[in-house]
Amino acid sequence: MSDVIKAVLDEQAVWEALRDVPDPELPAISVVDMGIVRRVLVDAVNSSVVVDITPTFAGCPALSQIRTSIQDRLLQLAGHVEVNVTMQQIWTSDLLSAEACAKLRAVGIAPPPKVGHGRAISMLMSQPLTCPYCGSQQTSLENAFGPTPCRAIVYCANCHQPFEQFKPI
Amino acid sequence: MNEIIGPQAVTPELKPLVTELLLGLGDDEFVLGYWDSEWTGVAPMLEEDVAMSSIAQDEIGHARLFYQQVAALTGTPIDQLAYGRQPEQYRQVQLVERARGDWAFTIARQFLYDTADQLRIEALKNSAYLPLAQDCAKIEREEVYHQMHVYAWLERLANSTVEARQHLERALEELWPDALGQFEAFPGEEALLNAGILTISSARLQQEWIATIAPVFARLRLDFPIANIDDGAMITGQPAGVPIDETTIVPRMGGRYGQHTQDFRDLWGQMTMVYNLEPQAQW
Repeated sequence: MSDVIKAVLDEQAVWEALRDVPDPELPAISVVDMGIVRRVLVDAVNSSVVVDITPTFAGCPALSQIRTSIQDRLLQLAGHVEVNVTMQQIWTSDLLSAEACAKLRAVGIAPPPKVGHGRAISMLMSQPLTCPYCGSQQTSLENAFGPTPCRAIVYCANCHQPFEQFKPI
Repeated sequence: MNEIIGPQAVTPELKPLVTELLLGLGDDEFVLGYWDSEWTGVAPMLEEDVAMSSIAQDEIGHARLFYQQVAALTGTPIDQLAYGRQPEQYRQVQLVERARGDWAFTIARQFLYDTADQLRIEALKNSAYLPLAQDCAKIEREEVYHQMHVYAWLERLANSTVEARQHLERALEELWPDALGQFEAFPGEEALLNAGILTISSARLQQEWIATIAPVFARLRLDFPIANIDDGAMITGQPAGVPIDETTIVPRMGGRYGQHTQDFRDLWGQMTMVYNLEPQAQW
């Protein structure tokens, strides 16, 4: 397999490669932007990479697909790839990068307000939610639940469109 | 209290007890998730169809976290844990195995379960068994949305039409024995408490639960026939001056020891049907 390895194997190369791996449920956004990748360990001498990932939501059905996708992508860089699921640093919506938030808006999903140490639920209920299409805050929460565990459904009275709201958690 | 950092650090004496605990927690969520998922397509309105489906998905996801812990401890594959056991090998409390009933029954049961589960999960965040503590930290954040949902619906059913309130009251009356059955002690609970794996006894958890939900029932003017008994004095959740119901409610126990109802056997037959066609299949 050694003739397959073309690029230099270092941490930066791995992170860049991981930006090619999309979140299956939000293909515009990479697993890096989602904050799913928590740690990368590179052993260039032995051409080996270890990646720790954390699930967004416990019921997310895409986790095994994400693992496989990461493995496939990194096997183009290294001879041996190990992907571990860790719950040590639990995922929070605050881990979404600024780039992720911009990409969400571009596909009609409002990014989540920052949770910090606050109670996530109050963020969804007490803050005005911004329409990703027209920018208006004349919006109402139609359903705290949506098509996936991470999204709620909101209606914009200004442009008369429903949109998905990434849930703060 | 010494932290138990992973499965390898669990002593041989504690291992079966931790396994039973994890199976109980996992089976609670798994069975409830299955019943909740039955509302998909037939919920009273579209928003609730989406909500219950999402809640059920979360619950199955939580079950998966607990089953993965059991798999790490015992080596049993998680599909086999989920679908390959006989009914008497499951460890859920009987509250969650009741068939979903009508909407009021589902909401009443969900309320009684979620309020207790919230206290249990919060306590388990401090478990000496680190993998369990970490999983509960995650679960707790997701449960916040479930609680919001069920509190809103309890209020809605209690305060809207006469018919809605009647359905709710009927459901609650039927569910009190099952609700108390949630606090059946886990096998080897004392040893688990001594090791810090459990941080609060089931009896104490029941007291906290009663204290938490009594004010809600008082505010909604719903019957609340349970009282905390502390050193012989009755500590009642009823407003002062209201007569206390003298009926003794017998908690419906046995779930943690594999005693289950026909409702569960019916569910088990359905949920294991595909798996049992070909148990060795790779999905």
